[in-house]
Amino acid sequence: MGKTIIKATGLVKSYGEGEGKTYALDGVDVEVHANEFLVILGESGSGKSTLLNVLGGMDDVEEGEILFEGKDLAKAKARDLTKYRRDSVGFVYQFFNLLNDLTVLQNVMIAPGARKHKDRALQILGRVGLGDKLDKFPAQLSGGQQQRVAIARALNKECDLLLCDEPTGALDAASGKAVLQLLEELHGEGKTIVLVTHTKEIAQMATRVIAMKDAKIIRNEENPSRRKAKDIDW
Amino acid sequence: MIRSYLFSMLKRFKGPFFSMAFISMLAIAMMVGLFGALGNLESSYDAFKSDYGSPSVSYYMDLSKDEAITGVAEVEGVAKVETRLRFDAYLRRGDGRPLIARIFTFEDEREGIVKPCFGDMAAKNEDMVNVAVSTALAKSNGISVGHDIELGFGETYAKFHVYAIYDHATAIYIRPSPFIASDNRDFGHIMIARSEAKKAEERIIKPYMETHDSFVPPEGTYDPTAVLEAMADVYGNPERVDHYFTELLIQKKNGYGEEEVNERVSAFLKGKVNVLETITESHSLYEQFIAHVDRQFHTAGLFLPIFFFAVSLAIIALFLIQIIKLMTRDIGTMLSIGVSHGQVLGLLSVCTLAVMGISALFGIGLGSVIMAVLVNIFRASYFMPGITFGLDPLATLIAILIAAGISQIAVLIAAHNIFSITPKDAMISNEAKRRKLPKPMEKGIDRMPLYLRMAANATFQNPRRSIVSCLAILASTTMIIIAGLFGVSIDATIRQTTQTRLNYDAQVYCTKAEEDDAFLKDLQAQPCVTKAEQGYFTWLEATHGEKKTTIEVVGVDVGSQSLQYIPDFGANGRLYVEEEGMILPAYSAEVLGVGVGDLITFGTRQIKVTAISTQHMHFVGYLSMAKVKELSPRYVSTYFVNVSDEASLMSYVSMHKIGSVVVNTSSYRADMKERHDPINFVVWVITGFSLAMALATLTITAQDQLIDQKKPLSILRCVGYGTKDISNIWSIQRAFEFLIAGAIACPAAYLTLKLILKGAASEEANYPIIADYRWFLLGLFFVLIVLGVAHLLSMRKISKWNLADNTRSRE
Repeated sequence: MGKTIIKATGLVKSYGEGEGKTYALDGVDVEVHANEFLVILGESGSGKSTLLNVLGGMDDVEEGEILFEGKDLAKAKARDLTKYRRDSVGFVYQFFNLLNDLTVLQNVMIAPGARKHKDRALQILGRVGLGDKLDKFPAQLSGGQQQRVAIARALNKECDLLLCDEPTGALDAASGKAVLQLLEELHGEGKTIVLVTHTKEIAQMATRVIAMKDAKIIRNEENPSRRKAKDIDW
Repeated sequence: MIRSYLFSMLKRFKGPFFSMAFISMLAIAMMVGLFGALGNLESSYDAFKSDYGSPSVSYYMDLSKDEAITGVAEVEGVAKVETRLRFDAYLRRGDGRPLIARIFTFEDEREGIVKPCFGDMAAKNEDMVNVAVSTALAKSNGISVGHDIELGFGETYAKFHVYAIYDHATAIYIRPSPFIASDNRDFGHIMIARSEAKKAEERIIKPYMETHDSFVPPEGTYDPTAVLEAMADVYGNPERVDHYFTELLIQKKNGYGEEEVNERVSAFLKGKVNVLETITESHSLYEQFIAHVDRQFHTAGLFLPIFFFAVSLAIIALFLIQIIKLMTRDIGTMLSIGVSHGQVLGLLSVCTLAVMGISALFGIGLGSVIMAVLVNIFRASYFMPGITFGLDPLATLIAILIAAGISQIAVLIAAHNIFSITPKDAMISNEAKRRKLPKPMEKGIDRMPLYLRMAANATFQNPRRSIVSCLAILASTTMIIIAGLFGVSIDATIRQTTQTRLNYDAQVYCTKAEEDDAFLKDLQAQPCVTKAEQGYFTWLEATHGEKKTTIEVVGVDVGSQSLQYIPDFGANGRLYVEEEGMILPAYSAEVLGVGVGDLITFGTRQIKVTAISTQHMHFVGYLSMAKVKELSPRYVSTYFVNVSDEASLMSYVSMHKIGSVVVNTSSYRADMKERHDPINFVVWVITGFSLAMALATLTITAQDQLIDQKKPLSILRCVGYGTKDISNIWSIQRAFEFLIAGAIACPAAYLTLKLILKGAASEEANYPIIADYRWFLLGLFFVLIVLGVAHLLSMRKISKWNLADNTRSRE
């Protein structure tokens, strides 16, 4: 097991009050280790996406601690969270979240700090198989292509941690598989991947699986029998 | 379902609907307030004219006995006759220096109209002549009610009892005098009831009349000059012996012309009285002034509501189109379940009508406040204490109907956006829709740095929103510039008008009893006098063909060294009198139908018009002194003087008993400025409205843009952009809009003001347009502040966003 990158303890997040109070996270403890492929598995409403958003610095918690490089993200100021999102983590969304008014190349280069590195962006786009789509706009791409652009954008930030929220959720099986294969390759190159999904089959790719139900972690175990992305069907 | 959606739509788009309501409210308020106040001013003025009676023909005659003019009322065509006396006397001050008091009479039965103008009052003294003294005269000379003052001339003085002090300006209301300038220290107005004037007649006028009559030959030609000189010899020093007038005011019957009645009355008076001047047109300065004010406010009353309604139409239409765009999926869903396009259109129509209803309510309320404030200003500035308060029901109804109409026109403009939506739109994401820009534009935007590119995309992908922002910036910048330049224009007009009078320190009046040249030399030799020049003034009747008019004429030194500043508005400079020829006031040129080079006739002589001088509110023709002597034996000598020590000049005048000194004061300028206060007030209120409208609109368009761009902006935050970075993108976008709108606003303001000033101008008032660049800068600066505030308010929202929520969904 690699070094612990993120250590979150006692995370609590709820919505509503009184009898209508619903927990999205109810005392969750989780660690992310370097170079692991962690899958957080759960049904809709289990709290998995909320956990990922919190780890990604995009949502806050009412209680708990999230340590990253010695700093507690749960108590960090907005400026520090911005820095964290900029320099330390790449996020891939279910619905891609590309900027429609920018081309593929511009979307990949959008991140601050990544703007000066056009060569790197071109290389990454070539890597994800979109070297010939540089001037296209997102609306002109298929879902799978858009998701690959989103991954390229995350990669262009040169951070080792990639958080992916249902990256195949909006894709057909073939496109989804292609995306998973890409993530697999990146993991092989040393990236740390945290992937959220409700699909059990995808969890078979993981080095470790955390299962969530009703805002709690119900299982946290290594995956002894990893499968390749190309062998997974769902 | 439609009805329930109505409330949810109003709630969801409360920002844009608020902006629509706000701008419509301003338009309604402007129209209701302006027309309400104007209507009250006009009805009050009509009532005043009906009460007071604007004479059709006026005659100024030598002081006449009543029996000489008995029977005038029976002349055919005469409906009403009123006689008044106007005479100048000296007020003997405590320090011995005489002060000219111009005394006006009023008919006893009019005392009810006069009394509201009185401030302090005391009981009358039946044994004395009771007079009302103007406030300025009282203040300058320590006079209070209950005091006795000495009035008279030569060696004949009598005591008069001061029973009332009236506000001079207010009294104009009941007695339009040719003069609306303020009291000068050395020249005061006194009002006296006709019955009291009878007493004065016995005590001071009768001795004068007996002396006067003794020099009038019973037969032969009456030579007024010879009589005046003889009288001056009697009194031993120059007196204002030629300023005793009986004013005979004739109101004609309907169906008769002024000229016709004039001819009949003149024939009646011939041989009975000495008519000095006949005025057949009602060019009382006060009446012209009110007519001028009426025109100004009608111009404002038309232009301003049109401006605001036009802006509100544009904003409502643009916001509606934006709302329809944001509701595309909802509308598509409604269509897919069987709701028709017409029903959706109806929903929008009802929504906007509901919003207009609310704006009408508040607009009428605000309009009432504007009306009340304006009426108060009118009362003070236009000498009409009796102007009533009240809204004009017709104008109010029209304002509401226009607002309702505009809202529906806007709905119709936006309608095609509804009809282009299909049920399929229920399923298509708005994200997929990207406006195609022209290729060169796309390429150009592509080459821009990131922030600039994002700002440009945000602008061109949603041009409607940018247009609304531009409109708001344009409207408010334009209004600030217009308001500022209008003030500059008024100042210039006042300066040009008062330039003539304020180009020298004092004016000394005396009659021809003194040797002119000798006196002038003596005056110039005084240590306190730095420059003195002589002038003459008189009234002459000029004719050109069938047309005629009476012109106040001043004879001055020829050439550029004269202290007389004759304004030439057109060239923004001054004119100089030549040996031959006349500088004619534009108003008289208009009446006579002459231009430069034409000949006008004075008696038997013809004079060429060498220049036309545009003047504001006070029309004077200028000739050389030699020419005045040639044209008229009756003129008054006057001396224009620059002094280093005013008190020394006063002592000199007192010692020589040469007459009076009119010292120019800044009150004339202040008076004129005060007269323009109402229109200035209106202009600045509108400017304030515009700024408020701009702030509301810019904040709402910014909020609207936030809603629209919540996801992309959240994505940017997710990839590591801070609020400051987002702010930079928006700043650039706002800068685009500011630069475009600001660049248009400057020429737009200039051209609009030119139109307004043209509409507000008349023969009496000609407002120059002066492009003072400071107001352009100030206008842009204030709007920049408004932009900044709207921007900051929006940025605060971004910092509070939940990024997870904003990036979660497909939309």
